[in-house]
Amino acid sequence: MKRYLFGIVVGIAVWWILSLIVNSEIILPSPMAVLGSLNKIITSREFYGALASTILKGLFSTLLVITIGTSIGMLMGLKRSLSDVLKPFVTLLQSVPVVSWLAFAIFLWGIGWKGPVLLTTLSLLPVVIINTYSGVLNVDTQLLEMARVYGVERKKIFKYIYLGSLLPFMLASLRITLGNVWKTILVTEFLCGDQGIGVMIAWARSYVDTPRIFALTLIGVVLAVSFERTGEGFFERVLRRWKLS
Amino acid sequence: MEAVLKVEGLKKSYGDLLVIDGLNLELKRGESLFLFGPSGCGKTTFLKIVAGLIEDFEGKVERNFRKVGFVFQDPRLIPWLTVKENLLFVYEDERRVKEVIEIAGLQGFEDSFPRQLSGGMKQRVNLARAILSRPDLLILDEPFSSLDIHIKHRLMKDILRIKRRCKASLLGVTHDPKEASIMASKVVVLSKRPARILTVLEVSDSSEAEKKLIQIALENF
Ligand SMILES: Nc1ncnc2c1ncn2[C@@H]1O[C@H](COP(=O)(O)OP(=O)(O)OP(=O)(O)O)[C@@H](O)[C@H]1O
Ligand SMILES: [Mg+2]
Repeated sequence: MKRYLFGIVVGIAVWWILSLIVNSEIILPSPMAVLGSLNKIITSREFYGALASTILKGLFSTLLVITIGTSIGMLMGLKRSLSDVLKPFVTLLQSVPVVSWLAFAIFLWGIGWKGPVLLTTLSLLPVVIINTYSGVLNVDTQLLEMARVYGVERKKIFKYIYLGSLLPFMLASLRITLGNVWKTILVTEFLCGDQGIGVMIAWARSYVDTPRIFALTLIGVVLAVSFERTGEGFFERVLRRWKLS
Repeated sequence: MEAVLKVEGLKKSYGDLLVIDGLNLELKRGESLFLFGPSGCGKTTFLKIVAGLIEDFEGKVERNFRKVGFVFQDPRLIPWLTVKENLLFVYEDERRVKEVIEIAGLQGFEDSFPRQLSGGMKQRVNLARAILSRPDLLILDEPFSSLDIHIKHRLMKDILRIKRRCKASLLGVTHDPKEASIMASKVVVLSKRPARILTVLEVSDSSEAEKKLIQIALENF
């Protein structure tokens, strides 16, 4: 913890010195200027509406990514024929850049909350699908064979063997998604949102208010880190109870 | 007496690898038949065919048993379920599960997870699971090979006791002469892969049978 703080202090010192050398608020504002902007932001009322909007979008996207990604991944793992059909689409989804979906989202809904949620969901989905899929392939075939000898019903096999061995993979999906969803939400809000931290960054950019962009970025980072930290503690507890870690 | 299992001209290969080359054998009700053969000769493959886990083979397998209990070579317990839950997974009858926990000497371990059990205890659960549904054929795939000699002997006695109690027939495989001579009333000796029958030995005196099996193993394996 001490070293951690030390690192931050050194980082800020280096930043300060660099800003003195660069000597331009537009390219690299000083820590003081950013702190001033930060103060202005968090004492304004509009900020809390934006923060709430970003968090809601982030959580909703996470929910979508996890439920859709896990279901598709499982189906692909369980049905060989389905995985053959879906694999190219997953690869496609993985390689299409976010901005290509942008036009589509804007034609469909204009700016608003739906665009950012759709774009975020689409860009995070492939990882969860692939993760879940490899989880299903990872299921112990010896256990499946055992269940077959004793004629255990499919439902029970799914519940006790598949879900059990998928749990760590599902937690990993959740962890990866929670770690990435915030920066993706900020970008997509910037592109096609009507409210949120990303939209605030877009406005700050059009006023060339670099200290404000820095301050908002800092808020984004804190948001991501705090969600990841909370998630991590939770995952570890669940895994320990599951007797795997 | 009626045959629980009758195998005629059984052949099995994995791709180009011929594993079983023409087996003929018969298991009578109440009998204890062990296949004795070297490592990798196709013993597990044979048991899987009998249990219906492998369906592509040549030859005839006539099954006259109602239910089969399979004691696997490795315990195959579900790691995130307790002993009791592992048993309920294959047979949902609390009373029978309790009964079998006693028969297998697992009292006090009902709520333990597999990783908290010793190798011997895990094999007991494996065995308990196999007898839950009161099978009339109990299949044993080298269930003692990973255990130390003490536990091995106790477990062998337990299985023979359970066999009498459940009136089941035993079909086992092993590469250990001692195991075969203690457990079996009849030993079928297999060759190296691909498995063929070398001889059949009726066991009346187990220490004598053991000597004979050691002799055969030294000459052929
Ligand atoms: N699914 C499979 N596909 C291809 N080859 C296999 C498969 N299962 C087993 N074999 C091969 O068939 C041979 C016999 O295997 P099997 O497991 O039946 O032998 P075993 O007598 O039980 O050996 P062990 O004493 O090691 O348990 C081995 O050479 C093994 O590598
Ligand atoms: Mg084997």
